[in-house]
Amino acid sequence: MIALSLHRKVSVIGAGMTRFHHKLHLEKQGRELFTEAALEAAESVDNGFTLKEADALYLGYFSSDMFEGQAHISALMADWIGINPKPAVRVEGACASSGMAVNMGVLAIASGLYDVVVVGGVEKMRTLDTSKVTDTLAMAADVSYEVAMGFTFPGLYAAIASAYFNKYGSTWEQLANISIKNHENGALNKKAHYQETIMDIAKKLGERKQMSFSDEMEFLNSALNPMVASPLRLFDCCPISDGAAAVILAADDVAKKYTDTPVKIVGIGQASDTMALHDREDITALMASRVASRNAYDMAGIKAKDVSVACVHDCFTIAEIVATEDLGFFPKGQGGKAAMEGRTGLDGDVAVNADGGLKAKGHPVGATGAAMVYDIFKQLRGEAGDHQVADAEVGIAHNVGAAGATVTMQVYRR
Amino acid sequence: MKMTEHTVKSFMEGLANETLKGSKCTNCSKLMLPPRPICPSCGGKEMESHEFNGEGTVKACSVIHIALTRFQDMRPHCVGIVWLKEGVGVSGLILSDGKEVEVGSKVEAVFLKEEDRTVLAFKPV
Ligand SMILES: [Zn+2]
Repeated sequence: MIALSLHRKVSVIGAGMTRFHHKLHLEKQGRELFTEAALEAAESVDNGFTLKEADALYLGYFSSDMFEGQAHISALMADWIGINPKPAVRVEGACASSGMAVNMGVLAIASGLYDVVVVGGVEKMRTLDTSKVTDTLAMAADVSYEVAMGFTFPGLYAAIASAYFNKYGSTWEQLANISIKNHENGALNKKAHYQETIMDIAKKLGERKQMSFSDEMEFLNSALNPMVASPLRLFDCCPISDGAAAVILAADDVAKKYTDTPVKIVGIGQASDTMALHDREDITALMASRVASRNAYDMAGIKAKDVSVACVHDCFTIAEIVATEDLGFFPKGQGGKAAMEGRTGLDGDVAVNADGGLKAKGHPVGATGAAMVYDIFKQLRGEAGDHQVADAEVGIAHNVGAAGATVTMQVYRR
Repeated sequence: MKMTEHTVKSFMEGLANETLKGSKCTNCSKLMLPPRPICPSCGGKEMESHEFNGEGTVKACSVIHIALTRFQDMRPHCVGIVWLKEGVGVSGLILSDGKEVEVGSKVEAVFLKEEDRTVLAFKPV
């Protein structure tokens, strides 16, 4: 039984993140990345805040063990951001790790135990080469029953695309369109991994290979966009990025001390589904996205149509299309078409991944859920800069672990 | 229930013997592959062993070009979700020379012996 409201309301009072990137952070460890994000979050609090004022830390890090050979990462991060002896907890839910950390932080404050907590996440992925990263990410799927049979993580979303195309007659062009849109948004976001449109990239890579392209689709159909797991090509997949994000949560009754413009968390949700994709009858939707979003909407007292800005989990282009349907923005089978019509653009019915999404902003796995909150915080305070969505009132963050075995949601209001 | 049955090990030993060993809930008759100790439908804990015959149709597939370390020498290889005649899904390699097969194609299970394990695969029929 899920309560329709929290006993104590919670707001976001500050947020910070590193730029997500594949080269910029090669000389840093995860600890330095998270410290950078946490300090920026503290500095963003309007009336001043020092990290020592936090009562606890909830940290998402998918695989510090494989990427950095370091476990016990919660204690390390608490130590590094200087909050000892405050308790620190690592939360691991694959790509939804920091979405879960945000929800845990909300619950901890709502319980009355704490007033202010730091939540966030980090992933330092560029320590391994692409094939070892592929192996590590596959650990988020069922290693014995999916990965042992040759499924990679992109392979699972490729299977979703395969079933989706078969059911709805959609084509790869709809996927490519998502990539084009998210790169256009990313080009406007100073924190994004790729601050380049697909045409910018087509020109740059084309010059190197002495090829020229008249439009995005010609480039995306070329050999410069190789297949990763059919039908998903390189530009259907989020990049491998290093980065961190941190968010400061406070009980509403203490938040006013820190800022006149907190962003209220008015609904949260989380749901689980079968670990293996093959155990689901319908793989053209993520049941956990539906459940988590409905629970969060109900708690917030809103409907999907009330959402003005949405960070949805687009680890692959097909995932954004499926998410916009599961979250109730569009009917099943219509997400790709709706995006083609511009309904998810910055001035559309609902701005989806205004920050560039995982595709262009990057996806340091454990940092992603908190980085979504970072953008929603900025959007609802009118501070998002070039990718600001006009009059953003209600925002959501939708964070998916692997192929939907875990999904977290929050609804935010200014 | 003996904890040596309905385990990953019992499934893998089944593959080594060229069988698809799952479980059947004695309470509600739900079939499960791989086997499980608790029925996800009714919560039942009494399982009996059930052997699947390995025939089914492809529900989804993908040709993997960026492969796992362990599958590098097979690259590109096709993987799929196969919906078995008994009404359960399972993941496996699809033996189609690295090409996609159509969703809905009929396939049957084959068992690829490797040095230290057996990989579940399906071939078009
Ligand atoms: Zn049962």
